[in-house]
Amino acid sequence: MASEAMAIHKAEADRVAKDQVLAGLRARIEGIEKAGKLGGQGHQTGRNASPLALTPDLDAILPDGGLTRGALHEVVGPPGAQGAAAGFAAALMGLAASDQNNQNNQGGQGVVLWCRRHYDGQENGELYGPGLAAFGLGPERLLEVRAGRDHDVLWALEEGLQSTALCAVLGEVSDLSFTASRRLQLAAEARGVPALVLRHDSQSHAVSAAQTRWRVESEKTRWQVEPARSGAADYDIRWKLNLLRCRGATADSQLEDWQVEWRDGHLHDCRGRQDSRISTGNRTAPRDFAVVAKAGQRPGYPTEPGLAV
Amino acid sequence: MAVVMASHGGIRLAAVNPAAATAGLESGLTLAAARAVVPGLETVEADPHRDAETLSRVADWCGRYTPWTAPEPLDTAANGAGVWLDITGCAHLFGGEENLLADLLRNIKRQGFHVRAALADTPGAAWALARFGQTAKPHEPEIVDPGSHRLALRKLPVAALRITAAVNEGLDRLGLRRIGDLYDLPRAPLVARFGEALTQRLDQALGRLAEPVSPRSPVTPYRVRLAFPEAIGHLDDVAAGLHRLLDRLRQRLVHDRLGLRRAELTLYRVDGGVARAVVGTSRPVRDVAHLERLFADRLDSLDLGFGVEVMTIAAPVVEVMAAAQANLSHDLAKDEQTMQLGPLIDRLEMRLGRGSVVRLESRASYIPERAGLAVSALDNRADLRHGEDVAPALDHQTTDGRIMPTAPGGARPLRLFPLPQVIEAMAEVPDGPPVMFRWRRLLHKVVYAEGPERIAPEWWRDVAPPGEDRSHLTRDYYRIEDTDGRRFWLYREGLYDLPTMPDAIPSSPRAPRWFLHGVFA
Repeated sequence: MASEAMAIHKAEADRVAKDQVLAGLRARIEGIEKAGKLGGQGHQTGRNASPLALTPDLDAILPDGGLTRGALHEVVGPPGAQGAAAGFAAALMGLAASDQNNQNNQGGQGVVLWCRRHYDGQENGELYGPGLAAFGLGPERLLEVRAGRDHDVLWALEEGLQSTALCAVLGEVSDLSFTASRRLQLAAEARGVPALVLRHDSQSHAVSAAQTRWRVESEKTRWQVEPARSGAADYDIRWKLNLLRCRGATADSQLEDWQVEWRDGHLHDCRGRQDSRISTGNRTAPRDFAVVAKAGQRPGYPTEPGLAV
Repeated sequence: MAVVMASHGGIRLAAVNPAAATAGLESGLTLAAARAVVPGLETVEADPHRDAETLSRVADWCGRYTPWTAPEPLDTAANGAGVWLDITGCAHLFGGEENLLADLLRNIKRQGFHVRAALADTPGAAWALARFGQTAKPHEPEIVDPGSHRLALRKLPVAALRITAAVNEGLDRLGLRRIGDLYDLPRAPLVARFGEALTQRLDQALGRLAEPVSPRSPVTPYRVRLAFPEAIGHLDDVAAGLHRLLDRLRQRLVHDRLGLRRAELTLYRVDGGVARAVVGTSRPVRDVAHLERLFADRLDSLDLGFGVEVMTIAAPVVEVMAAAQANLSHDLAKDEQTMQLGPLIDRLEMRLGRGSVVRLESRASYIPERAGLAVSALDNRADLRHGEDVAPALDHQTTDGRIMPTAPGGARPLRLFPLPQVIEAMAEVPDGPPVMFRWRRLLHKVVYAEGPERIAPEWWRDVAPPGEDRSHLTRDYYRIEDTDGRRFWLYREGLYDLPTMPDAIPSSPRAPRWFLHGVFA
C-alpha cells in the first residue's frame, strides 16, 4: 500500500517537474521571440526596457517608442568628411552616455567607444575633443580606437560590446557585410547597448541586419531661415533626417526629410514638420521598408521623397 | 677539428675539439704549426657574433634554473666563454646543489655542448674552478663547500684569477705559480708591481671584496616557475599551466598588495630554445582571468618545438595596488567602471597595437590643434583628471568689436584636420569672409559666414627673436555655411595691410592664404 502511494506521489512529482520544465522553455521561447523582434507592436524586452528618447515626434514613429537600445543602428551620409552624419551619430552617443535611465552608464557618466581607422584622421579629419564636448562627449566620456582596417574596427566594436564598461559603441567603416552587421546586432542585443555604424551614403541600399538606418544631411541653419538672428552666438546644429530602414515599423510610418536640431544637449524637432509625411497610427503588419531612388536620379542621392516598397 | 681565426699576424687556432686536444693541439697555435702536427686537421672559420648569440641563448635557457643568469663572453685570455648563474635560493627547487648541477650538465650536454661547471661561494672562485679545477673524474662538476673556497683555490694556477697575460707572465717570473703562493704575501709590493687588478681579483675570488654579477635581464622577485615531469607539446596544457602559474603569482601579489603592469611568460623547450610572450596592462592587475585573456592571443603564436619542460611567469613591473575596498561614497559606480574599462583597453591595445586607444583631452590653449590633444588611454593621468582641468570657455571678438563668449555648442568643429587643407577662396573684400571656395575640386558657395575669430600665435610659448614679425601667422577663423547647409571652419593665415611700425623691418612678403581646418556637425 505504502509503496503504491509512493509511486502515485512520485508520478505526481514527475508531472509537476515536467510542467515546470515546459513553463521554463515557453518563457525562454518568449524571450527569444521578443529579442528577435518577431512580435513588433512596441513591446519591450526585459533588459533594455527603456529605449533612448530622441524627440517626441521621432519617438512616435519608432516602433519601440524611441531608439532601441540593444540594437545596431546605421547612420549614412554623403561621402567626404561627413560632418552631419558624424554629428548625428555623436549626438546619439551623447544621449546614450548621459541618459540617466540606462543601467549601463553609471548614473549618466557612461563611457562610449568611437572606432575608426587611423588614416581616417588624415583624410576626413581627426575627432576634435572641444567639438565633441558639445555633444556631451567630454574627454572622460569618450575612448577613441584607431585601428588599421575595417576588420579591426568591427572587431573592436564587438569587443566593446562585450565589455560592461561602455554604454554605446560607434564604428566608422567603409564596408559592412551582412554577417558583420548580424554579429554586431546580436552582440548589441545581448548587452542592451546601442551599436552605431557610420557609413557612406553610397551604401544606403546595402543589406544589413541593422535595426534602423538613417541618412543624415546638413540642413540650412536658423540664420538662413531667420536672417534676423544672424550674428547670434548660439550656433544651433540642424540636420535633415531620412529614416531609410526601420525594422518593425509599419509601411506608412516613414520619415522623410525630417528636420531636427541639436540644442542644449538635446535633439529637438524643428520647423518643416508640415512638409514631412508622418503617420503614427495604424501599425499593422511589421515590415521593412526602403527608399528607392526614382529613375534618372543618382542612386545614392534621391533628391525627392522616395518610393516605399 | 679546430676553429681558426686571424689574429696576431697570422691564422691561429681559436678553439680545438677534444680529439684535436688529445693530438696535442691547443688554442693560440698557428695554423701552420698545427697542420705540421696533424696534417689532416679540419678547420672552420670563427664567427664571434654567432658565438655571442649562442652564448646568450644558452644564458636564456639557463633561466629555467635561476632568473639570475649572465653570459660571459669569450675574453682575450681565451679561457672559454661561460655563463654565470646565481643559484642563491634556487637549489632546493631541484633537490639540492648537486642535483641542480647534475641536471644542468645533463641537459646542456644533450644539446651538444662540452661544458665544465663549478659551484662556489664567490663568482671568482667558481670561474677559476670551472676552468682550472681538477676533479677526480673529468667532466664532473666541482662543488666547493661553503667557506672552503680558500682551500680549493690554493692549488690552482694564478691564471685562474682572471688576470691579463702580462701579469701572469710577471708572476711566473717571480716563481708565484699557484694562487696559494699569493695568500701570505704582503699586499703593498704586489700592488706596486702588478697594479690593483691582481689583488682585487684575489680578494674577489676569496670573497673579501664583493663582485656583483649583473643579470642578463632585470630580475624581479615576482617570478613563479612550473616544471613538468614530461615535456608538454599541447597548447591546452600550456594554457592550463599558465592558469596555475598566474594563480600562484596572484597569491604573492595579493600578499604584497601589488598588481603587475607587465607579465612575461617564458617557455623552456626540450631543444634548448626559449619561447616568450609578454603582455602589458593599463593599470596594476592581478586578476587571473584577465591576464589569461591577454595571454590567450599570444599563445597561438608561440613555438612549442618538441615540447616544453619548464615554464615561468615573471612580473618585471609591479605597482602598488590596494585591495579592492567597498567604497561607500557615490564614486562607487565610477570605480567599478574604471575597473572594467582597464581590461577592455588592454585587449584593444593588445591586438591593435600600442597607442591605438586614445582619449581626447582638452588643454587650455587658443590654438585649435593644441586645445584638443589625443593621449594614450593607458596614460593613467587621464583617469585622474576626470572632468577637471578642462579648458575654460574662450572669448572671441566679433567684427564689430564686441567680446562674445564662444558658445560651447558648435563653436568648435567636430572634426579637425591635422594638416589644414589648402583651399582656393575668393573674398569680396581682402580681409572679409570668402564668398566661395574650392576644396577637393568641389566649389562651395558661401551662404553664411560668421567671424572672424582672430587667433594669434601664442607669443609666450615660443619666444620670437626681437625684430621678427609673426603677424603673418595670425589666423582669422570663419564659420562658413554653404548652399547645402554644410558647415566648415576656414581660416586665413596672415594679414592684409599690416600696420607699418617705424622701427620694424618690413613685414613678411607672404601673402595671406586660405585653409580649411575643420568640419562642423
